[in-house]
Amino acid sequence: MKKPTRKYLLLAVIALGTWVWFRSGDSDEKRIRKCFDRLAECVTKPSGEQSVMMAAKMHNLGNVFADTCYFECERAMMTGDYTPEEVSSHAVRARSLFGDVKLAFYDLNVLLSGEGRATATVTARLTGTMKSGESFQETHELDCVLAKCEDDWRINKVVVVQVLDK
Amino acid sequence: MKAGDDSTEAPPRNALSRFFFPSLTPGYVLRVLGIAACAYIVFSRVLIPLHINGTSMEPTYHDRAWNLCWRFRYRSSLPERGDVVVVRFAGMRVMLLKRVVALSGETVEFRGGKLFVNGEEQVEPYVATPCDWELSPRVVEEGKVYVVGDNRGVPMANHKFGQTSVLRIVGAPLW
Repeated sequence: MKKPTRKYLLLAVIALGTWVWFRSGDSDEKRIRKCFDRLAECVTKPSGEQSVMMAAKMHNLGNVFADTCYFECERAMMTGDYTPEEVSSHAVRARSLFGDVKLAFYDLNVLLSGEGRATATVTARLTGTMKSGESFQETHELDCVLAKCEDDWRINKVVVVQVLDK
Repeated sequence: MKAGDDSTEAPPRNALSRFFFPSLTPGYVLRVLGIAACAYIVFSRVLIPLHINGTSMEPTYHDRAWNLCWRFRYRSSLPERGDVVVVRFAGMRVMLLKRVVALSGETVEFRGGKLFVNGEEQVEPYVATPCDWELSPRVVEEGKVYVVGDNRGVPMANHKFGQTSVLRIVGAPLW
């Protein structure tokens, strides 16, 4: 291999290494992203989900939210303060309506405001099949506030943004 | 090719081979990087690929069709009545495709499935399915437009429409 080619390859390897190192860092923003990943994982229900798996997911779901989380989501009839246990029981009831359901988050923008608080804007997309066989699809923009609790980020406030107002 | 000529002209097989498996010269690497950077900029900032998921814009735009969102469509002008626009949520990975039916300050209503703007019935050649929507008159707020999908064959409660901020409009479909 020619010397200039080797030089370019070396530069590419250095750039790739820097990118991997940067991506693998455990920053607050990355922890917040993981928090949303956990939330999506807990809400997602594959068809034929075992009850043991459901119980484990609902337990983990409680760990995603702060001791008190404020919700403003008229569509899901959730407005006010909820404890993690209340959120979990609400999720159990909602999940029971579906044969399968998938929650995915897109375009997560995190803004760290210091003092262990952060705001996040994200698009949440819920797709699935109702028990009746009807397919279901909902997309909403969420404004969230997160609080840092013992090195971990918990969701403290969830407000559904009205993108289209009839 | 002349006999004994050592010109750079290669036999067809070699040319083909070189085309698909070129030698990794610095110039070639730079060209590839340049093309990749241009493609990234164009398809993330100027022409965003859209995969239409849903039937709310039938029959104008079909479910599972592909299109491109032209970001500069409203750089120097505002959306007009009848325009099909792309409305963003938190970002640009999930967006809505809707038609502008009323502008800010205008009164919009549905009466017996017909669209009325400022009390006048609108001719909507793009609507193929009759409907029975009923929506009381409402004034579109300042800085907003009223958007509706072309597919009125679904119950009004299941159809996402309403007024949205002009700032949420990120462009228009290219075709």
